[in-house]
Amino acid sequence: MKYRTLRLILWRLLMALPILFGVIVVTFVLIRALPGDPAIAYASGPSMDQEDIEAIRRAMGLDKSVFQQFLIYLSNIAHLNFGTSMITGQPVLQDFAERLPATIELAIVAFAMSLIVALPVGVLAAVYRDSWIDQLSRVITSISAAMPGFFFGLILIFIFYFVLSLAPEPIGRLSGWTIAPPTVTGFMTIDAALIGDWEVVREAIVKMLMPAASMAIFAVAPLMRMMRGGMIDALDSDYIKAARAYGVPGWKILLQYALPNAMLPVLATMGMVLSTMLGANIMIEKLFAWPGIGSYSVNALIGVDYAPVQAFVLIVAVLFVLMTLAIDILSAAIDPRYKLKG
Amino acid sequence: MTGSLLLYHLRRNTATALAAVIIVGLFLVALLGPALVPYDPLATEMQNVLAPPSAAHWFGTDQLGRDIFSRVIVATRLDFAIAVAAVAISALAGITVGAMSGYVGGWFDGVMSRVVDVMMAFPLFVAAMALVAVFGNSVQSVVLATSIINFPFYFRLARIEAAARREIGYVEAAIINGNSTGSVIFRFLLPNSLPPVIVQISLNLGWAILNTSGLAFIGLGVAPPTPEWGIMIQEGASMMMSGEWWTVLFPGLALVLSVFCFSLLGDGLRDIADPRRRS
Amino acid sequence: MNAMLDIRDLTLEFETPGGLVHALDRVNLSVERGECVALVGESGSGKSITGMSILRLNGANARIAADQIALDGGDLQGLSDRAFQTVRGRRIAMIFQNAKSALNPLRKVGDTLTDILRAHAPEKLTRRAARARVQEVLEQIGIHQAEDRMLAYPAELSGGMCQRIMIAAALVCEPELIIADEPTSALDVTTQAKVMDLLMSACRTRGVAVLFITHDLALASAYCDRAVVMHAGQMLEDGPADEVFVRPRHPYSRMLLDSMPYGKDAAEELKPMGGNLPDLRRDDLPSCRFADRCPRVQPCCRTAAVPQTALRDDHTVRCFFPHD
Repeated sequence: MKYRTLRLILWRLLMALPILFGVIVVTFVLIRALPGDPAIAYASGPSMDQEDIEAIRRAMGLDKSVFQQFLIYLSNIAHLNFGTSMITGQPVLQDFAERLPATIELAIVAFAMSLIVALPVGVLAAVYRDSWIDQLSRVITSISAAMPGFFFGLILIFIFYFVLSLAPEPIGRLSGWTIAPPTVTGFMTIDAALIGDWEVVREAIVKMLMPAASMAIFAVAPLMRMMRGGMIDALDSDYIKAARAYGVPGWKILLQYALPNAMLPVLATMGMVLSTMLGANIMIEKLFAWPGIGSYSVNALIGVDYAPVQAFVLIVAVLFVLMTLAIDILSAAIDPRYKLKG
Repeated sequence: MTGSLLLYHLRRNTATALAAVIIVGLFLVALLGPALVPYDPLATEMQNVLAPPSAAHWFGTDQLGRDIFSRVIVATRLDFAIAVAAVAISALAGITVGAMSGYVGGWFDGVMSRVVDVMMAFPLFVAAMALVAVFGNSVQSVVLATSIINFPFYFRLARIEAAARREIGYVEAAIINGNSTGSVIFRFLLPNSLPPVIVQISLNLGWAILNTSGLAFIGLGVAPPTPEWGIMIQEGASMMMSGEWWTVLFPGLALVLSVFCFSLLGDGLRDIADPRRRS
Repeated sequence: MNAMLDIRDLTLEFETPGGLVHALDRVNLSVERGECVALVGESGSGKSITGMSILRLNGANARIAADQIALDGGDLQGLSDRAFQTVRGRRIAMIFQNAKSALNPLRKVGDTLTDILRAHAPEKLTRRAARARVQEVLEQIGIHQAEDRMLAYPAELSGGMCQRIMIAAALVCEPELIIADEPTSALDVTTQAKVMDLLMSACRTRGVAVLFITHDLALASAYCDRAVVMHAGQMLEDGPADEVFVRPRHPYSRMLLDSMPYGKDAAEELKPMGGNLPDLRRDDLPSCRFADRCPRVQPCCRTAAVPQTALRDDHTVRCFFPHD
């Protein structure tokens, strides 16, 4: 059993390698395809003269063949050297490290929100098919599928900030006059809790509600759809019929028979949703001026600062590949029917 | 018996039919809109900025005094044109290459499938963002980027269909009858993969519109002062905090309505094309 | 003494978007203690639905009406859903056609069996004690390495082994009646015989009554005491198995038998079934639903209510013009 799982993980890793390699090639091509000179792109300031840039060019190996350049790129990645941002003047890796916790913290809250809404309604819609709750799930799914998060966010801002004055100003992680706790983990809630400042913990949570909800909206449709579909398939299955025929209690059938089976297809969607929230919800971070990696990268892109963009694309794609891998392995661990594919 | 059955199908299909009607209407607006609007979408009127909706300005005016109704209507053409062009390119390219890949198999199929796997590894919006940056900040870049990120969907669809049908009798018969590879693909394989492709096209048109306005919202692709829903929402964002809701609401609703109808139509068509997988 | 199972005039309809489906029409069926009754007929004749309706498993759109569905003299229809839980699995157990899909794929088969046992335990039964009891039953019906089997997932076992597990699941609460719905149809022929032997000997030694639903007449005649023939939701003939299968009285039973290859010398004797089952959504079904296919049909078969004629004490037929 143990051996089988281990072999599966290794095999999956092996299968992911060509894709990871492809991703690296694409980002390598990307920086060379981007308008402008990579040497300037990597240079730490726009005020450099021609000689400095030539020096950088040599240092970066841009006078060498494309193949050699690619090897240098590989070795840079291996050393986590993603170059320097022109705008901040810091190594890109350091910039990312500073901003990643904000992104992760928000993504976790948004992920939790989307699960809390989508999964129970999806389950109930399947259990009470064609009832009012099933109709409701249809409406929520349709709206969620068509609603851009940034528009939804603005509606929330108008209602809760402008009209009702319930929400704080929709900018950043803390209001301007709140003193941020010293950075330990980078997670505002945890850092504030560490110094016992519960007022700031509360404020940080409240600040996250609107951006998280805007981020969650897109995820509700696929999650709810998969949950409902998976549950319907499970409830219609022979093993549920058999469990009923044997008088297994209803709650046990629902929780131990139907739900685990219904969750299997939802897992993959959960992985997709979480990685999108972590890596691709740039619009929401921008709208709420959230200091995460998404808004950092898009600002870099607008500011023709390409080193962070390249690193962002690479990191996000690797994240997607690894998330798919993790979900695969998790499914295999849960589902004994899972056979090695490919 | 037939009465309730009819009602059942009608109830399912009215939504689809309604979505189709609205989409036709939106295409008409895209076609004729610029000729019909009451104001020049670019004309500013500084003494009348941020006026709420009124008889003169149905959707109000924006921070430069431009008529929001005219801008929303005119924007339909651009957003639809980008979406249609992008989806047309990706569908044509994806289906052709996919059908070839599935039909021919071998190393070509192996290489193309790996390439598509790599493409699918990038989240759609991040890929679109990076591609627009590569191609330069323009409408054409948005079209190209959108068609590239949608390519894998059509590729995979056509590839599976072609590979599955290669073994089926009528295709084998066509081969035995001496049809060339090209004619087998175009005359026998493609027509049969059409229903799922049409469903995919409908869904993709909605995504493409979302994508375009999303890019515009973060400042990529379409640039101000061009009327475009995403740009209008972006420009209105700060106004939303001070209560001028009309600056965002109307372009936003136009956007939601379009995407909503395309996805509704796609779902409805899927039900019709493949009744087994009714949602 | 009461019959173990006694069903009188069971009628069942399904409400569907396409209208009412008249699935069962006044079905009468009884199974004595320790008796094995075969319920035979083509696919779609309503055999499985009859079995399912005894356990109330036909779904929310089923409308059941019956004079009685009695188990050991007590009518089950009066029971609340809650009280009925003590019947399912405990007093009546069911064995399904496809054992592999009838076992929860994400649960070890031993756990599934303990779930059933613990669902019906009179007082709190510890996991440990339940597992011991399950293992005992598995060993009783001759499953080797029962302890290892219990730790396996359904996907890791063969179809035949899964069906043996299902038989154990049916036996574990010592029910009075087992409904076996095509228990061996999904298995290959050699396994089929082994599983049938196992099931029947287990039931005979324990004195459990069996309702054996099958389309396989050879299997039915080999293992059963009595046979009930169904067609399009109607019960047409009910008699001792050796009579029904050797000298069938109802034209449909004869037709069914003629279409089977067993015991025939030449291929000419094999006659394919004529016609199809009627569309049960029709509101104008003939009173004998076999009328449209019957070689002996007369006008009265379509209009007049068909009497259930007793040819002997233990052999009845529902037909105006039975064979001699």
